[in-house]
Amino acid sequence: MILDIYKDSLEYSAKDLKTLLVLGVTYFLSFLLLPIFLIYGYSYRVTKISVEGMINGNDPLPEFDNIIDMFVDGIKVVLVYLIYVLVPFIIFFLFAVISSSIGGYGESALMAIGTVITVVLILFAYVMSMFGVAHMANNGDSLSKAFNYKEIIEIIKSVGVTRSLGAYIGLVIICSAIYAVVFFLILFVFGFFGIFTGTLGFAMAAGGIFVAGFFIAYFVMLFIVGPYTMLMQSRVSGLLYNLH
Amino acid sequence: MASITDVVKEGLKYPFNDSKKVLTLGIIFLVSSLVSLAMEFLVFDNMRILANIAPVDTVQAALSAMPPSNMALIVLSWIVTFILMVFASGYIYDVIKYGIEGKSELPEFSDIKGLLVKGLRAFVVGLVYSILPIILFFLGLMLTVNESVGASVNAIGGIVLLIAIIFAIFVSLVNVMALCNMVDKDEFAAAFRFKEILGLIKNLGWGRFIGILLFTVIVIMIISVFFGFIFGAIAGIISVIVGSAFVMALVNMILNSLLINPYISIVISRIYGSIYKEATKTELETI
Repeated sequence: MILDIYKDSLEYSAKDLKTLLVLGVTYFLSFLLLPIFLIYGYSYRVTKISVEGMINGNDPLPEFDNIIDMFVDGIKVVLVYLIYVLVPFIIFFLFAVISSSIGGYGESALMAIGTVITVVLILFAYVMSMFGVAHMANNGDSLSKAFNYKEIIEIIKSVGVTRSLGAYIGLVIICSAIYAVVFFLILFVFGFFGIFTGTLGFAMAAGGIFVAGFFIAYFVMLFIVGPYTMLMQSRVSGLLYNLH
Repeated sequence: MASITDVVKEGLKYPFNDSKKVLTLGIIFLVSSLVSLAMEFLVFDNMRILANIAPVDTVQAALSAMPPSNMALIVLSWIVTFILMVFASGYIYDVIKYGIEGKSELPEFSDIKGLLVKGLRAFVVGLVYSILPIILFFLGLMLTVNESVGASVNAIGGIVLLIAIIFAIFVSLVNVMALCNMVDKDEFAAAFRFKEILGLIKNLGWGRFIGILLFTVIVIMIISVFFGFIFGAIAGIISVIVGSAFVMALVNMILNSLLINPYISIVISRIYGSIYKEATKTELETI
């Protein structure tokens, strides 16, 4: 079932190159603070469509229009993520404060335990926030539904705790694999050209080719791969929510 | 019952229904900020004169040293800015009214005298609501920083300061609902019927009320930071071409007060109106 979800979201995100490019340009402008919320708003729309759709259901990509709605939805999504992430960090901070007041070996031991707990909590917070956003999308955009943790835990239980954790860990692995493969592929192609020119005796030209390859890899990452993984994540979270 | 964010979304879209009127309001803002820029220039001029005759002993000496035309111009620009601001808040008053009535178009600028009266009303309500927190705040501040009264009094002053800040937040929340209540009932005294106002907020729910306002503040902050970046970049480029820092301040100010300030103030007052509408609606539902 999880593999079907992966397959569907891999295909779904690759549906339209133009959307990916528009999202990429928005990503590029996100140092201006406002565009980043547009991206989150768009991914929220993807989640919403996925929650209402089904696996391999040939759902359409959402339109990139109605910017104000998208912006406000994006702020909601970011708020949900921020508040869920805040919990493990506060616990980590508490551990740090308490352990620093003990001193000696107890300090190290307590801090080690605290770090492990924090890592586990971050994982749970990630899954909870993903389900929270999907729950919000399923219940008429109501922000309070995203923090209704009793209902969300109920839903995660019905999907299966190990299954949902596994799905998200697998998602992270797939995304990093995509990044790594694309990066090395581009670098390999340009490295081949570089070595080829280098053997002809143009050492400086080879350096230029290498730099060009690096820049192209960077822009491909920014404009295509980044939005692609983002869409994938939202699609997976919506479809996984749908299994309950 | 609309959700929190639907209110905000509706408010953000509302000014686009008639952008000409937003621009008209923007021109009022622009004129008043240009006048206050000129005033700053005159104040700066006065300060330079005062600095040149450096040891000034009395207020009379300082006043006599300043050129009288400068003082007259400063007072005049105060008056002009005040009238323009009252006019703008009168318009804002009408926007709240249209929000409560749920009209989709923006109010007209035709009734100038009416707008001035309404703006004066809104101004007085804001003044009355801010007097008590300000007095409490200054009391706390004076008790805290005064070293001659002893440490225990300073501590009490700190507590008073904290209470003043919390009280100021509470009062500014009530102020929103009071303004809307006055607009809806169309009588001045309605802004001070606290039982009615608190009842309205209770009907909406304090959590929801604060939630909407907080969300609005976040949205407005992000929008203004974004346009601050963009306008700053435009102003920077123009100032580099012209080669003057003054042009940069001027362009930035013109763009901000012409486009962003009217937009934001209309959005906020529209959201206030929608909040009031929601509050009265829930009242009807509970009855």
